[in-house]
Amino acid sequence: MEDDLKTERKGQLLAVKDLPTLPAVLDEVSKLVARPESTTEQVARLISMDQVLSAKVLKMVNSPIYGFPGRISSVSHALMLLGFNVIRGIIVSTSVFEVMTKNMVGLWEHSVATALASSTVARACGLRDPDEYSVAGLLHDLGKVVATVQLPELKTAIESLVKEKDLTYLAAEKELLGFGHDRINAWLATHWKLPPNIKEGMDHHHSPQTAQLYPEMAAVVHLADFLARLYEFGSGGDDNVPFVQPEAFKILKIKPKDLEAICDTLGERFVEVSDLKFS
Amino acid sequence: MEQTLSGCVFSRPQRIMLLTPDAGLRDMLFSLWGTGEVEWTHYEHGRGAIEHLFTEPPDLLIVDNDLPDIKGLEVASIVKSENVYRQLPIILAASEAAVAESSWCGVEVDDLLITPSNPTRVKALIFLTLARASRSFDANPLTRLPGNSSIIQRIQEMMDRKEDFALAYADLDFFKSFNDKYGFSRGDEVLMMTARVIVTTIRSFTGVKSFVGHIGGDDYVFILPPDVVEAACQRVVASFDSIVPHFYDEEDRVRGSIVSTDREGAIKTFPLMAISIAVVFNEGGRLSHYGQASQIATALKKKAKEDKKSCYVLDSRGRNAAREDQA
Amino acid sequence: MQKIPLNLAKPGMVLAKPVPRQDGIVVVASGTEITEGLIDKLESMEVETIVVEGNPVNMDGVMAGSSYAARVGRLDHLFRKFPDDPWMGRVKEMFRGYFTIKAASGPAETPGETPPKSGE
Repeated sequence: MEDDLKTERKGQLLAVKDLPTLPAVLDEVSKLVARPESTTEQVARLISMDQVLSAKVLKMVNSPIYGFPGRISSVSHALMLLGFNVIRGIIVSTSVFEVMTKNMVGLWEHSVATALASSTVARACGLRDPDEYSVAGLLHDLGKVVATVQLPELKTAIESLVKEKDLTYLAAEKELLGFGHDRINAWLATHWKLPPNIKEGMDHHHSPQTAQLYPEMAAVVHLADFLARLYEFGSGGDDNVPFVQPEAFKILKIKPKDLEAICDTLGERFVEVSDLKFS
Repeated sequence: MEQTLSGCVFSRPQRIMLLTPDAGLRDMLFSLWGTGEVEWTHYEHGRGAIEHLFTEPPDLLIVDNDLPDIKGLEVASIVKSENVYRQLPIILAASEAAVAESSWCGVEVDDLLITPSNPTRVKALIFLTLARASRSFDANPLTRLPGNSSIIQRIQEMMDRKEDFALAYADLDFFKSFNDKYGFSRGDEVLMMTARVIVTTIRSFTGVKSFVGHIGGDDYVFILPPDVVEAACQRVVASFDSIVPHFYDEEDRVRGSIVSTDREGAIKTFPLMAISIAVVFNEGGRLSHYGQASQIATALKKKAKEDKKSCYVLDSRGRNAAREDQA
Repeated sequence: MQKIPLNLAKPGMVLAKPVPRQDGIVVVASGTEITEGLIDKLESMEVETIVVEGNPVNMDGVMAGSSYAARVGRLDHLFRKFPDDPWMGRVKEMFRGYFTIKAASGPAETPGETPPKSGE
C-alpha cells in the first residue's frame, strides 16, 4: 500500500475527537453516576464493560497532564486518580452513535466476552493482575470502532467485502485499508500513552508469537478472542474462529486440553453477563 | 460588585502600588475600597518607585504605560526579570490606541487596564488579579497544589475562627530509595500520583470544608471535618497501596522490594513505598497556633513510621481532651 | 448452570444464584430447591428469569453458552477456513468432544431427579 495513503489514513484515525458509545450503555452509566450513593467500585465495574468509556478513562489518566503517562492499566485505578468530577465530565461529553446497527451491538458484546475470557485465561495460567488482561481483551477491537467513526465509508465497504467474499474481517481490512485493526490499535495505544502491556495485548493479539515485551498478554488476548468467537458471544465482524497459534500455548505454559477447564468457568461467566443490556 | 476583599479571599489588607501621573486614574482607584481593605502607595514617576518596589514589594503593581521618565512596560520587565519578584502581579494601564500600537512579544504583565475605564470593571479586574495571584503564588511547581505559606495561612485562619477540623500530614516511606534507583523523573510521577489520590479522596467528601496542600517533596497536608477524616485516611491508604506497585519495574514489584548496593558494597533491601499519615484534631478551639499542630504531628508521625506499611495515626489524646473539655 | 425464563421452571430444579427483589435485597437464597409454591411466589414478585443448576432445559439458539448442542452444530462453519489444517482440525475435534459431553450431561447433573421435559 502507498505510504502516503497509509499516513493519511493514520492521521485521520488518530484525529478522532469524540468516540461515541451505545445509547443503552451511556444511559446506564449516566444514571449510576447521577446517584449520590453510587460507589467508585460500582462505576468502575460498569465502565469496564464498555470499550469506549474504558478507553476514554484510560487515555485521560495516562495523559501527560496528570503526570504519570503509561502507568495506569486498570479502570478502577483510573477512577481513583480521576475522581467523580472528571469521570462525570467524560460521561457527560460522550455522545452516542446516531445510527445503531446490529453489528455495533455485536461488536460490543464480543469485546465484553473477550474481556471475560482474557481474565479467565489469565487466572487459570496463574498470571498476576488478571484485571489488566481483562482491559486488553476489552480493547482488542477498539481499532474497528475508531475506523467506524473516522472512516465510515471504508467501514461499510469492509463489511460488504466480508459478506461477498467470505473473508475474515482482518483480511477485508487489509485489502481495503491496507492495514488491520491491530495496527490501528498500535497507533492508538502509542498516541494515548497506554501502558505498554495493554498496548501489546491490543496490537499483537493476532500474532502473539511476534510479541516482544509482553508475550503472555498477547497470548492471553489471542486465546480469549478465539474463545469468544467459538462461543459466538457477540460478533467480531465475521463468523470465523481465527487460526490458533500453537505458540500461544507454549508462552502460557498450558496445553490445548487445558482450555476445557477454562471453558467450564467461562461458560458460567457468560451466563452471568447475559443480561447486560447493549441495545 | 459588592465583595469586600477581606472575608472573601484575603485575611489582611492588600497593598497596591500605583505608578501613574494621571490624577484622574489615581482618584478613581483610591475610591474603590476603604482604607481597611487596600493600602495604596502612589508614585508619579517610575524610577523612584523601583527601589521601593524591590525593598517592600506590594501585593499588586498597577503601572501606567505613560510614565514621564520610563515606559511602564520597562518597569514591568525590570521587576519580572528578578526571580524573587516574578510572582508579583502587574497590571498595565494604557489607552486603547497605545495598546493597538504595541507589540506584545515578550511583554510580561499579568493583565491590562484600558483607560479610560469605569469603576465597576476596574474593581473586578483588580480583585480577580489579586485572587489569581494568591492562588498561584506558592503553588507547588509539580502538583500545583498550594504550598507552605498558603497551608500555614489556612490552618491559622481556621484556628483563629475556632473551627473544628482535623489536620492530616502525609508523607511517603522509602521514597528516597525509590528515587535513588529509578531517578527523579519517576519519583515525580509518584508524587503526582499521590497528589491525585489525596485530592480525589478528599474531594469525594462532598458538602464539607476541605483543603489539600503540598508542602514540598513527598510531604502533603489535608484538612477535613473530624468525623470523616478516618474514612479518608483509610481510602487514601488503600488507593495508594494498590496503585504504587505499578510504578516499579516488574522484578521489584513481584519481589515487593528494591534491592540495591550501597557505597561500601553492602546489600540493602527497601520495601515498596508506603504512605504514613498523622492526624491532629482541633476541636473546641483547643489549638491556637499552627506550630502546636505541627509539633503534635511530628510526634504522631514517628509512631506512624514504626510501621513499614502504609498507615495512619490519629491524635486520640487530642480528641479525648476536647471531649472532656466539653463535658 | 443455566439461565431460564421463569415459565420454564419446574419443581426439582435447584437455584444456582440467589433471587433478589427490585431493590437488591435477596429473597431466595441460592441452593434452594424449586417447588410449585416458590414458582408462584416468584411469579407474584414478577421475576422473569432465574439461574438454575445444571442444564435442565433444552433451549436451542437462545444464547451462547447455554446451548451446547448448538455449539457442536456450529463448529464446522466456524472452522471452515481451515479444512486441511491438521492442527486446527485437532482443536476443532477437541471442542466437538467437549461441547458434546456438556450438551449430553445437562439432565444428568441432577442425579435422582427425573429430568424435566420442557421445550422439547
